[in-house]
Amino acid sequence: MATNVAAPLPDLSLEDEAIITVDAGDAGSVITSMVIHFTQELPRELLAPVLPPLFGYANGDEPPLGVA
Amino acid sequence: MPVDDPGGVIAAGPDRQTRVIGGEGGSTMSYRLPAGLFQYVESVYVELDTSGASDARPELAIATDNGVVMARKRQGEDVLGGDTGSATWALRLDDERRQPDTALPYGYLVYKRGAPSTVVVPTGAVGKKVLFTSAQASDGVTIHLDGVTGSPDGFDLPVGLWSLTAMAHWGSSSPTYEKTAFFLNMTFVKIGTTGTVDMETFNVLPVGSNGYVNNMTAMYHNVATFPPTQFVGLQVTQNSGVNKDLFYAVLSVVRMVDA
Repeated sequence: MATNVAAPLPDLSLEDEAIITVDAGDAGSVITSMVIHFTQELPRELLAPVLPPLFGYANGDEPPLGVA
Repeated sequence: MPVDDPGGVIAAGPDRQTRVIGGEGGSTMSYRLPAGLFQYVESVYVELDTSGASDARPELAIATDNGVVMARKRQGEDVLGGDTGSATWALRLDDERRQPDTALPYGYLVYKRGAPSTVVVPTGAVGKKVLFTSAQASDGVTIHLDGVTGSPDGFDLPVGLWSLTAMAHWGSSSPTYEKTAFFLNMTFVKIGTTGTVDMETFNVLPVGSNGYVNNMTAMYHNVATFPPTQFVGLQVTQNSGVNKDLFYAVLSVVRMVDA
């Protein structure tokens, strides 16, 4: 009968190209498949050109000095 | 399991938030998150073929692009060898290994009179406590919690570090025997496939010929690492000719750490 085990996943936000590795724990074991579920978010600097101007400032610009 | 990326070649999964990666015949497998995105991994799931393997305890590692490991998480239970299985790591899951690492209070009790079959202690489950107990009320009897000369009754312990506690209690309910010397032999045995080896022997425990003792308890505790296919048991003997009433013995085993 198949044994199915589960454990909590470290709760980390990851840099791009982070590496996820699973070691089966026994050299005779074979990992037949891996499924990874994740959410992705575009960096702000990539989103800025396509976002509508926020408070009148576009392209992710910083407000001028003296303007709240 | 529909694998949309056979051979470990990464491509779009069944949905845009999922990658399904085919194995490459090895016991380790890695996936590099795409570049240029903030990532938030919610689950990792692997399927295992352990048909040619021993019990396996999968471990997940998360590393930066340049290989610096930032987290490791090992499963709390084995995927048993000789079969198939899976391992999941997911956010907000409880760890399966929630039993205490100490002797109390998790466990179960096996009551024994006569000659029971071997009790096979399950693998895994750190902190699992198993008790083996027996009771007699007659004189000069021997309690066998092992089959010293016969089949290896007792605990069949998987490889690992075990805490073993043996206890025997005896006494007399009659003042007539208050001054009687009570003698007890406790033999803690390890039985392998080739015979019996005394692991620890309690020599005769004299209360004393003039001892005013109605009840007495002897206990032995040891922590030892056991190789595979070892049986442990407890043999307790009352010397004949000495009247004793209450008499019982308990052997408990507790797994201390992972195999």
